[in-house]
Amino acid sequence: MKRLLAFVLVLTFSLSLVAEDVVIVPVGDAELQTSNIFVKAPKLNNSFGPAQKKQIRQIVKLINNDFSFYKKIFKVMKDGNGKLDYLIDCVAKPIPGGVEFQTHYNDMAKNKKVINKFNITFAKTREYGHRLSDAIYQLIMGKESIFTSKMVFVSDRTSVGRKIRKELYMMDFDGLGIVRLTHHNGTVISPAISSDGKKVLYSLIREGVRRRNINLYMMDLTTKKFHLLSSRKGINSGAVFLPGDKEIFLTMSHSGNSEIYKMVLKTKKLTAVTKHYAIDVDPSINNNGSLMTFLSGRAGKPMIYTLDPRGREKSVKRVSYVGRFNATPRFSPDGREIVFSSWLDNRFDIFRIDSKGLNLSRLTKNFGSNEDPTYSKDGQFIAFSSKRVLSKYKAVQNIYIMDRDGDILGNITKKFGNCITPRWSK
Amino acid sequence: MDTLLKGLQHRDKISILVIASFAIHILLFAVFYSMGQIKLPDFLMSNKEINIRLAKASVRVDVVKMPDLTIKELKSLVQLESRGGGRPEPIVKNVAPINDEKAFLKKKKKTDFMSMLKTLSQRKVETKVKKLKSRPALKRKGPKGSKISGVMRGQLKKLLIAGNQLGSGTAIVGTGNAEVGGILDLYASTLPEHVKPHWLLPSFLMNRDLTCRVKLYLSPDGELIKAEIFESSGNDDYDLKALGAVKKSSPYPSLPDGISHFAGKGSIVLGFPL
Repeated sequence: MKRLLAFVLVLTFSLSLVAEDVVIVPVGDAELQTSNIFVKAPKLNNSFGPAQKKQIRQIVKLINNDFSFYKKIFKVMKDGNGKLDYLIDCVAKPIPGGVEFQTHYNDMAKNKKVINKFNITFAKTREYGHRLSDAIYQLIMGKESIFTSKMVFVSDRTSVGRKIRKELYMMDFDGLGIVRLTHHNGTVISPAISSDGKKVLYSLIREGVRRRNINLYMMDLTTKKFHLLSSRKGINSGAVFLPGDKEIFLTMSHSGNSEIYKMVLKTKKLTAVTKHYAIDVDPSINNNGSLMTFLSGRAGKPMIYTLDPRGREKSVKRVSYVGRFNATPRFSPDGREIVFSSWLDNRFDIFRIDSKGLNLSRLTKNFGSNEDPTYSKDGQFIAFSSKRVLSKYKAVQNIYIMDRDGDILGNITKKFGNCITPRWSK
Repeated sequence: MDTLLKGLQHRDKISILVIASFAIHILLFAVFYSMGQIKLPDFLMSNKEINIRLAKASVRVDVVKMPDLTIKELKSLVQLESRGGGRPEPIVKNVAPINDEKAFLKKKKKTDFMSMLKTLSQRKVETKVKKLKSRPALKRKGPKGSKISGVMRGQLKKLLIAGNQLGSGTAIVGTGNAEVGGILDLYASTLPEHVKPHWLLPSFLMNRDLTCRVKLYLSPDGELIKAEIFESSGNDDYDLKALGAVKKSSPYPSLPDGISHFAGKGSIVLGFPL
């Protein structure tokens, strides 16, 4: 009996010491679940005239169109029937020169109601409409959308005969509201917008008597006035703003070899960021200015590299090891990814790689020749120019938008000449 | 203790039977507990030591050329596969068998260097596809009949991890151990593929840097007996979505012999996302 009792006690004690064995398996990141959204048009009484009623209906249409860009997040419903995740109920009240839009945002899952008032001036319906869309988006998502962002691009629509003229234009993210910015009657290349959206950098090819030079200009978007920033011998192009918009990176070849320099805008003081016998071009900087990506021929063919721009040739790291001809590397806003174009199967296609050189992914295929990718400010979309050959002598280039996984939403420019080098505002 | 033993010696038969009955109950409890049929209440389990290990495979990858397939194409292939195409067979690099015996028996002709090169260039390299020894029965439950064509399955076999080609590689991608140990780990490592199609989050929960871990209790045929939060993310909506994904994924693949006891005891935990 003594033994039996001891055995029971030992067994009970050892049982309490048995460790639970657990194996944890990571499932990975979730896919996005699409939410149904319906924007209910306001009931309009006789306090609005027919023209105003038309404009109000256009605002509702614009909100619907804006949200349809985020098609992986939202499914824009045509009517309020069926399951809804978000209901945007609009109430319109007349105010001098415009309309007060009250949006009642209902989160059906959480049974949460948020009322937001927004005044829209009829003279700037599109601009204010996008702002209203952005306000609604921010209420739902808690972060900024692309709805108020702009894009600069180059088009040859003013070319006459064989005389090619490429000028700079600006448009809303959806391809509408196009404004011409330059009237150089020359060839404008590689534009860039400042972080605050108030300045634009671009280069102009000057065909001189003795030599051809690429000069760098900066334009104030408020006054539309421009001035020459750099006209040193050779190339002065591919400029991008650094965070804070007080300094820029640009490619210059006055030393005989293309190198990347930092320029202080106020003093025009230059500091070399790269120094190598191979050519270094196309700088792009991440959001906090700690990492720069660029294209270099130091491997024998154009490959993508990163470096710490706070020094000369500091922490240079090769990112791409494949590709016959890689071009235009551009950082995502968070600096985690680099999107670039690469020559494959007799055309350019767009690829994505993370900044450490891993996870190389193809985004476009069998979709014309695709170049000049640029990320939207939220990193969810990529705009690029795509060239379609129509006949032996004719091809057309337009600007397209796709999401960051290569799902193409469509072209945002149409019948506006050949549109190239889109650059999205930050 | 002495007093107790003295008491026992002088007690009548009834009290001996009572103690014997108690001992038998304890024994029975121990046996059933060790078989996983009984679970102690949480307050008793709270101080218990838990051996946690991570089952995560890794592959050696060389990027040898630009990818042929786009992300969209890859996703559609994977989706087709998960709808009932079965698990892609591992790519096995086969080397033509070398018959050493024959080589020794044959008399070698003396040949010049050029003719040797010619012979080498004309030689056909025989490749036998070596069938892998079947792993412990990982039977997939789900719709019978694959919607994926043979050609597509072939493409999927050649699927890229990076650069569309797998090679012996020089760099390791993934944080896990390539040789995942144990049948339980092997079985558990197949589950993310099963759960992934149901792991969906609404926009407001995306990119929130949350992690939830769910413990699974599975029957031998892969049915989900119970799922419970092992580690909460701190966000109820997120936890519910993770639990929902686990429940929607049932039934799971049938359990291989020898691990049903562990799986039924809740030894598998799924991490959302890690």
